Amino acid sequence: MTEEIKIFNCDGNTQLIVPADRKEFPVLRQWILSIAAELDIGKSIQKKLLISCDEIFTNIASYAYPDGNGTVEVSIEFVSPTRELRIIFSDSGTAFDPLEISDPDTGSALSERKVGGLGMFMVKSMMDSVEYSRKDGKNILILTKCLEKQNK
Amino acid sequence: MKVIFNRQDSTLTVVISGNIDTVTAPELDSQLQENLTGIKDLILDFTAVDYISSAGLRVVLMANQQMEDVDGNMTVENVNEDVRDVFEMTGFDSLLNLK
Repeated sequence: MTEEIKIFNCDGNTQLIVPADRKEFPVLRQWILSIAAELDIGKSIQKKLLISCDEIFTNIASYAYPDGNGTVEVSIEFVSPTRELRIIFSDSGTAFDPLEISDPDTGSALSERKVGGLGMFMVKSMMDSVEYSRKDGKNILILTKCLEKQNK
Repeated sequence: MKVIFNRQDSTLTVVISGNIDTVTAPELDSQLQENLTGIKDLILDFTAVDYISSAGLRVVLMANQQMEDVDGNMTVENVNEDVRDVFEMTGFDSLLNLK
């Protein structure tokens, strides 16, 4: 039922649209902090949300637009019956499913370690689900975090 | 993020406060690079680090490598529970010298 889904506003809009540039991340960061305050989300989950959004935002800013020009669109909704927070990223860049990135070998020696893949691995570990789809020429990635699992 | 450097001979203590994220990690990296010449012991004081994303882990990894390259040591001190979780999740806990 739609009335059980709260869609958050950012400056009066249901979507945050910013240039795909990592310098723009603080805008998303502030929005998440304000939603965390509104929903009374604990510090530990707040940090998981911020880190996960940092990783996804950085991926899009770094790889989605080879010519360097494009935007990141973010919408955030809260499903009250299940207490799930959903953060939906979309971009019109190169089709790419980040879930296909192999997990890093977290047991290998640090000097041999490649940091690539670490970000997505962290997102998958910190969120309850991460779903990718490609629709209408857009990459859509939905991060879901259940706010009941305070200890995760 | 704020960074304070305290150098004594070949020991450098770096007190970092705030978040080490996609925006601040490159700043931390460039400030570290300006201060690492001649350093054999590098101490990263994480007392006031709120959280670290993979961009920050990359900087920590590079600094650790640089210290290994000069037969030096790097320690990361006073990490909070959430930062420790990230280090454990990524396997950095067994590879870094955490105190």
